[in-house]
Amino acid sequence: MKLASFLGAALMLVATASFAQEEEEPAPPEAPAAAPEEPAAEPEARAPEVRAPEPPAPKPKARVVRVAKSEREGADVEDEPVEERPAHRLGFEFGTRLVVIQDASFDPYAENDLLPQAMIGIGYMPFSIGPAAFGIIGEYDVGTVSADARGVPSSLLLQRMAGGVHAQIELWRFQLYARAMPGAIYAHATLDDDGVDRALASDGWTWVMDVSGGARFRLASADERVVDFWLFGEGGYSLTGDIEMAFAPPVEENDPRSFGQLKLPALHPSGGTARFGFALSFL
Amino acid sequence: MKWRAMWLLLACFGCEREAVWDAEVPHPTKAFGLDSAVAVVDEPTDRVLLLPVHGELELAPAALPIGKGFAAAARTPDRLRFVALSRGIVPRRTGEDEGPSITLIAATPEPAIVDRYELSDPLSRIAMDPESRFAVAYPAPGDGNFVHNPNELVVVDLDRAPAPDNPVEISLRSFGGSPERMTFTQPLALPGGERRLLIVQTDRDVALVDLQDLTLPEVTIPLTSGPQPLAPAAVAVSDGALDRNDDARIAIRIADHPNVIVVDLLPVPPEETSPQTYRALPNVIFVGGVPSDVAFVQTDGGLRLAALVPSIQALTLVDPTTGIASEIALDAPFDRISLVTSIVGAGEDGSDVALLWSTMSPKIAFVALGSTVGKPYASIERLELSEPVASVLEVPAPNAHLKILHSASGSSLFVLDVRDRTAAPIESSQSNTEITLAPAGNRAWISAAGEELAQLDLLSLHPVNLLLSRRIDAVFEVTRDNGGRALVALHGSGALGATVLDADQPSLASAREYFGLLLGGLP
Repeated sequence: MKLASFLGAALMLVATASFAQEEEEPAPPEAPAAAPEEPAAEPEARAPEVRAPEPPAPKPKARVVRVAKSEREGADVEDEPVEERPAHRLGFEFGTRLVVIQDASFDPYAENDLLPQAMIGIGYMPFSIGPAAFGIIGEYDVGTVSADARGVPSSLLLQRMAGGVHAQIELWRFQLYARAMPGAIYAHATLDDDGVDRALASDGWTWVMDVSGGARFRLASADERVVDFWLFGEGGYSLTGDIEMAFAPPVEENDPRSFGQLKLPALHPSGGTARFGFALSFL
Repeated sequence: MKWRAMWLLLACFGCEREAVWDAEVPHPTKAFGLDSAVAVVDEPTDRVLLLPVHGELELAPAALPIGKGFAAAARTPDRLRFVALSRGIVPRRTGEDEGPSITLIAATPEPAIVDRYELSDPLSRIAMDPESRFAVAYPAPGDGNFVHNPNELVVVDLDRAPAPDNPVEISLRSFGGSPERMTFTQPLALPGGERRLLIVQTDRDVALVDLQDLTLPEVTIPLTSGPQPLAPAAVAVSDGALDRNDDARIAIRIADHPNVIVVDLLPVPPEETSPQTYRALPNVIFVGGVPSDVAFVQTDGGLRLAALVPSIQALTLVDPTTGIASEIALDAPFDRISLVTSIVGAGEDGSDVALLWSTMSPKIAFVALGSTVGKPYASIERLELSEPVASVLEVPAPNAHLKILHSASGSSLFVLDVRDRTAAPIESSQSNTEITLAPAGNRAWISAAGEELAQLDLLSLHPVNLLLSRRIDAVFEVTRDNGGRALVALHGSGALGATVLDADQPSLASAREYFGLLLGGLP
């Protein structure tokens, strides 16, 4: 709980600092691909002189996407140069993922229904159509909760590893997206019962399917939008299978005793999810 | 600060968990040994956790609800059923508030609730019929309803499902007392037919309830006529001669009083009208001193009331018909009597043999009552022990000829063979030992609020000592689902643990340990 809170807060601070930095610095060009339009008009105002032709401005090694016609309504698209800007292919996300687990099986390990997790994600968008892009993503989340179960200290560590598909559309400084991510959840729970010299432990896996949608806000860019900095927020639902929770002391080599299992309700960590944090995207 | 507020907001979004996870674990736990399981009452969560043993010493816990407001529990003497009395929510403010009830649970390898009997008033105590048929709920002095009847009984026939006439509420006619103890009689040959009686002792009188017909009014026998209340301490019952139905008697021992009241259950005279088929005729008998125990015995002179009077070190025999008393001198202040006739056999004249023991003297005695009347030198056989006896445990068949005499210090016990008249001492290095007899009567388990546990074979008297890893609070021997026997040792540490051993071949190598049992089975 504390770890996730700290990470979330830290990421928010980084994002806020980046935003402040953007306001102090001169605004970067809206889109590097549009820069060649201005030099095309300047020679008409200047005295004619013979100049060696300048080498063409280096273009980023990115695909170029056309801005939607609706953004420049009334203009003759055929007469104007196409406004171009890079479509970022690679992205990273850091932040906090919250799961509201209302199933009673979560109760032994937490005093409320909230599971906070630190998350890290990576995305790759190889396909784009106009402002829309499609790709694949991967994500890892880890979070822990702890409580007392009838006076017995308990804890639950949940890790989620998921990969899936992601679709997004960019509107001005915003990006709207939706994603579906199947994956796996690993749970490790402990009960520190007074009757035994080591904590009872239970481990298990199950499947997970997350469906979510969210929005990103571009805080800043660097290197002529080679790198974009984003804040994002997202909501969704995480559907999972059950994890059998059978507790027993971990086996030790010098302990010949045989232990039976304490079975608690099978953990069903499904629930609504929220993610927020900070993202970077690259060309 | 803003972040903290946000986290609080998010935390509020998540609902609070079920209250059972904040309920305390009861210490000590109330546990009962049943035939196929151990029943542990988890009072804060309104449930009983049954622990049957499956397969290779595996506990298969099953939690069953027993209603809100647990008050008392008991197992039937046949160990096949478990009864829990709950008071419900008191006071009931809405129609949805749970009412008082008695929950009947079958202690099979797959435990299940058999019936739930709704009660109209919350009661706090329960008495169990030795024949496992009836349960009686009755109030405790501290029951704090706005209005309650301290003389109300609820009789439940456990062999019948809930019905308008089951349970039956009975309000005893009171002379100022309230129920303290219950005694269920064997079937008695009474005028009007054979029936069983429930003898209810209050602090000043005794009531007889006809278990055959609970709609009949009870018969109340007031003991107190003067300013000083006479409190019944114990009762003894005799059916009398087999061929007569007018000689059943009840002896009532009075606390700290040299008189015993013998109640004859006689036919109702033709000129009297009574809803009962019998009438109770009390007679006061002086036994020479304050008796510590009474019993009806058969002597060569017929039925007698035997009263042990430690102050004069005598066994007083009183003819209940004439009130004529004779004394057998004893050389020790014996204070408890138990008939062992069914084990050693009656005398030629049908007379009984009584076992006497003392909590004050290290002696026991067998008294043959066949040559007693008029002969103060009756046949008495004495055994000297190293310590006085605090309690006697009856060993179940097929070893009913054995009795376990537990010493007052708790550091030793004696295996008394009633047939051979021998008492084999078994010593323990610990005091305050607890003895648990196997239902099959072939062994005893001895523990002592520590980690030590011993199995004592009652035939060979060979002890097998074991050292468990945790302090033992109670042990129970149960039947496994495969027909074998298992010993379940409960450990109160943490959220209740258990060690399960093979009762026939106890060994730590095959034992299985469990932890946190009271965390299991919760919603």
